[in-house]
Amino acid sequence: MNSAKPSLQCWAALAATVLVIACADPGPGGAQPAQSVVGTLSSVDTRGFRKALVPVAFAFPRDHGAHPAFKTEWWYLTGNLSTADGRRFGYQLTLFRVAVTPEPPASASAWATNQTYMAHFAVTDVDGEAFYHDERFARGALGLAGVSATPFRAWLEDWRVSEDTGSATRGCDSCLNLRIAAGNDEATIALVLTSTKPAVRHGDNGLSQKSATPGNASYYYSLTRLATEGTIQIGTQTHAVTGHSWFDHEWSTSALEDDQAGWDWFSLQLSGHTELMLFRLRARDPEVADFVSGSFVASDGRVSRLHPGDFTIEVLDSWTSAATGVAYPAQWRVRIPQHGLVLEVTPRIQRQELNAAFRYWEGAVSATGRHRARPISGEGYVELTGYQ
Amino acid sequence: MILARISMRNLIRHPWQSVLSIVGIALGVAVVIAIDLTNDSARRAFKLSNQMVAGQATHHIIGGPTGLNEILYRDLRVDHGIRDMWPVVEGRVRLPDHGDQRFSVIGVDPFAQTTHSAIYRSTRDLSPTELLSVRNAALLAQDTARRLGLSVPSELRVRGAGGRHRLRVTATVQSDSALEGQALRTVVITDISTAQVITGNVGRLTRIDLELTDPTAVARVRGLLPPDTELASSASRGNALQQMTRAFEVNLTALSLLALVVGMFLIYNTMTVSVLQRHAQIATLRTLGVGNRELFTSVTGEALTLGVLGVLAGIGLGIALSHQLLALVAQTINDLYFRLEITQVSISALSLAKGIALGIGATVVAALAPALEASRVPPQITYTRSGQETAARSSVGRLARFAIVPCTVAAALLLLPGGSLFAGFAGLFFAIFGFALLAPALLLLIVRLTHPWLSRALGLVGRMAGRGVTESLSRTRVTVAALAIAVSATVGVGIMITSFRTTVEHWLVNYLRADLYVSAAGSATGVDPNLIRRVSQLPGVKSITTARWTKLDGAGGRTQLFVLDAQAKAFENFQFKHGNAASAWPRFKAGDAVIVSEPYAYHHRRGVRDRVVLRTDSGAREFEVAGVFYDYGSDRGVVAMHRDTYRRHWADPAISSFAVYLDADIDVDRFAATLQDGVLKDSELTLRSNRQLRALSMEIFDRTFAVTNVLRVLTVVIAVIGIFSALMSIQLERGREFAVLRANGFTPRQLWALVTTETGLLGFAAGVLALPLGLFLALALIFIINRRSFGWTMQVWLTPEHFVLGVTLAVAAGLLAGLYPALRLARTPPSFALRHE
Repeated sequence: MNSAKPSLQCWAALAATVLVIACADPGPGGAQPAQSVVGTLSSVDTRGFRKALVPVAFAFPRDHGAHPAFKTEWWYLTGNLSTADGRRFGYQLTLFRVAVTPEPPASASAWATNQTYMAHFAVTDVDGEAFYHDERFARGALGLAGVSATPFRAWLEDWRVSEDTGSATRGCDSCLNLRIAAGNDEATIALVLTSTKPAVRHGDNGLSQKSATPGNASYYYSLTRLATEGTIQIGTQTHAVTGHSWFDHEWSTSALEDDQAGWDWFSLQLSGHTELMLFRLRARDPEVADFVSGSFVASDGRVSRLHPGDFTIEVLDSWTSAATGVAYPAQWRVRIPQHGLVLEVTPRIQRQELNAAFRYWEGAVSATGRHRARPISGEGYVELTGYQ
Repeated sequence: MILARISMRNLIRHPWQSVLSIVGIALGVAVVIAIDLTNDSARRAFKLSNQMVAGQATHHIIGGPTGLNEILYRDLRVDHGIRDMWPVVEGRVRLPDHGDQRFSVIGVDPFAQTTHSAIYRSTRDLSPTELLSVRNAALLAQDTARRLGLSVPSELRVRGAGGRHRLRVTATVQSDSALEGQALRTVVITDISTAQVITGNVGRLTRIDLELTDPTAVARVRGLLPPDTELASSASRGNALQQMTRAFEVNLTALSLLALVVGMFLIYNTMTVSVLQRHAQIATLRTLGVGNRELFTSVTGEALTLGVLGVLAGIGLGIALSHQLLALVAQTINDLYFRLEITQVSISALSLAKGIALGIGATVVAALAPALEASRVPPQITYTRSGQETAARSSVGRLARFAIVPCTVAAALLLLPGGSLFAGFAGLFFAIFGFALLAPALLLLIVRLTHPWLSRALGLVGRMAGRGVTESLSRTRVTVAALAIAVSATVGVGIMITSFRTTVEHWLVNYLRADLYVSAAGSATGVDPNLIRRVSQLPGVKSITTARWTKLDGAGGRTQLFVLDAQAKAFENFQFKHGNAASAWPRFKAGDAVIVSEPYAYHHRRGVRDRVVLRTDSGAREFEVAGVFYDYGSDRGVVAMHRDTYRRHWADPAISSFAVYLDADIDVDRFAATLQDGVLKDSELTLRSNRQLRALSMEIFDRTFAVTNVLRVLTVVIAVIGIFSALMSIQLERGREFAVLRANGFTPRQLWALVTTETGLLGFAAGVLALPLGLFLALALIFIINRRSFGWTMQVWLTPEHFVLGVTLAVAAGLLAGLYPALRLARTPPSFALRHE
């Protein structure tokens, strides 16, 4: 019931704000502090947009596409990859959509639209201890950026995610096989992703409630394990890589509550073909409990919802960014007693802060621990926002 | 030290002379500085206005007459990942609620780039989400909003090629500098989608700006472009555009230098007279052991003092004057060349330095001869005025013979084929110099010729006046030359303008043969063809021809294209310089041939059967020139092409205007009124009768020469001040002579008559001398300067008014200059002037 993923709401407002910041002269100070971004959240006008009120039956491939009647939406890919000789990399490619008005404008111009897009791209070179990231903005018009469902295609200029229609998904309706390509002068990725598990609907059959307020929720599903192969190029060096990716798709029209400071989000792919998604929305008031939720995906694809009280997240370490001076948590212990799971989650490298127009930490992590008394390991991504 | 004090005393003892010299130099320098500041301000405004949009752009992708297909932008970004570029849609609108002012609309995609140009930077006050979420959101400069009385938010109605629209001013832009504010003065910034709609450019981009720093990127983009587009570097494109106004600027500069030259004569005159007056003093100094060098330095120093004071006053005057001239120059640039907002005089140190250097330089050069003269005064106390005059008269012949040198140089510069515009002006100045050398001889001739007539008319006074002039030749020759030159300039420029004007008038009569002209305000979508069909079906309409005016931009500059669907009959409206209508028509109609205007042929050195290269939709293509026609509409030239040819090579169906020929028995005014209230009602089209269009053309013509006329007047003012100063000093110097006359029975009235007759005679002489020089200047301006500047052929139209005016002006100046000394002398009792005897 309460398994909403609040990060979506944050991202939505964030995306809108970033678009604003992007067109300002950043000046020597660079990015806007996250605090003001979160502050802007409550002022986002959502009148006239559809809201996530009740669970709906997702229909694929249609629901892989865009839902323009909702204010915000995002398609999110992360993955941990390595070369044959064990050199490790992480990547992130995210496309955000934000509608500025509920209705498209009536205009003869192909540039006219109410849809705006933002994309983030990042590559972590674990062994090189390097982190590359970039961001882009475009209007959802003239084919500069957009998302289509059949075949699935999501792009912002030449950063693109497209359905690999040549490969079969073996009777799995919600599965997607994808080709992705993105990059900048420093790093590029060209990857082929193959679904190995069907879509996981988070929360109440895909309705991810965020607070008690009706409509303060999103529709949210994930493809938690996509076999991935391809190349990562850093500078002039090209690396052939394999590994696993995680795909999220979420859409909503909702805003973050005033008393929430930010969020921590975890996506972990564990040995034994299981996956774990957790988040906590941090309350500003230390007396008030954080808003938490999660999903545990068994090897056969069955999903267990994790409610408040089902798990704890303990911060073991912290790291302060030299570039921005922001202190982030840097190691966690996660306990889920009902599954007999204890995990220590550690960033692959510390420096995975996206110091873009909007500043946050999003990085590849490794996990080790015990599952029902047996050793377990894994890898994934963690996202941290709202830290000062 | 003593010499310096003597010099200073000398300047103070003749305050009138000193002050008038200063005023003369000041005016000359002021005109030079004002024109230079004005030209410089126009250049800066052009550069800045370019930068406002182009910003860091190193290159532009430019298309055909209708710009670029917007899909090209998408393809470059999405398919080829070219990112350092941003699209621009530009157009014109009018503001019906604000006196129908003309504004530029600049449409931007704030997502494309954020820091490249001032226009993009200015959008910092408006979020792109707002740009997209508020319907027809628009940005204005803060000053502009204030000027229009608009607060934020408020509504702004505009009328453009895309019809009438209501914009919503959602933010204002604070410009970083006054110049930036000027560049944004009449600019509305909107989202690119809004700009496309209101300027009637849906689906099209005006251009794509790029920032390409390495040659491989340039080559890559060039390789991706379709044939109807071109990648041009900003520098070459800006230069090509700026070249358009170059001839105009050079002409203004030359005129301003003429004013300075007249000012130079003034200084020369003052110093010469001053040295002559002080011959005795100088001779005394020589006997006291003062060397030639000291005397030379002393006289030069005196001149320099006047020069510096004049230059200082000239700077202030020049800056003030430039504010007045700027509006006139801006108007001409907007009328003839391109839309440019110039309201701000930018005071450039370089312009001021140029003016100062020219002013001081001119003073020193002008003082050289008098200073030499002073240093050559023999050290003897016997001072004879008659000696000076004898010397002056004997030098007349020498000077006249020496005139052959500058005249030969002038002839070579003016007549040698292939000479530049600069050489043309240099030739003019040499000719003027030659004339100045001839002036004393001619002056003597005129006095000799008028002598019998004067003595008959005025008796003794008349005879004395004539002699007075020849006897004071040392003092009057330069004065007369200066006045003659100034008057000749005004006569010459006047004849040139009249000739030009009459030529254009005649040309318009032949050229504008249709009864009514209907044109679209904007340029993009133009006139609706259905509307033309409806007009053609009205009773009384004999025929209709349509025209399309468009520009082809290329790396090599801009080509004005005139596309018309004329029939053979209307084609005969063209007056051919080379080729003829009959032979050109078949190839023009069916054979991909074009005809070019005279200035185009001149600037591009093209003649009949040569070829011009134009970039069509399928790439660069050669077109044969079938004829060269007279056209005074554009000084850069026009390529005219048949509509069929145009449509074969350009996918642009737009029509800019159409001309209506009526049956002979139709009342044109009544038909126009019916048309305006009928078919044209609610359209954005402008209807003009043949007569109105001609009047409008002449209005623009006259506006173009407004600056020229101001400079003309200023030059004459300088000359009048000069003659006033010179003649007055001569007359005042003769106090003793006049006292003797009075003592011998001359009445004050007779004395008054003598003085004014003498100065009037000098003025008359100058006026008469000015006539041949004026005619010569007119011919040189028409046949050499104008051709080298613009390539036009003009018929010479000589009307008496310029000659009459010239002589009247000179005589009036002479009489005026005699008035004060005459009055003063007449009032002075003879005993007062003679008491030192």
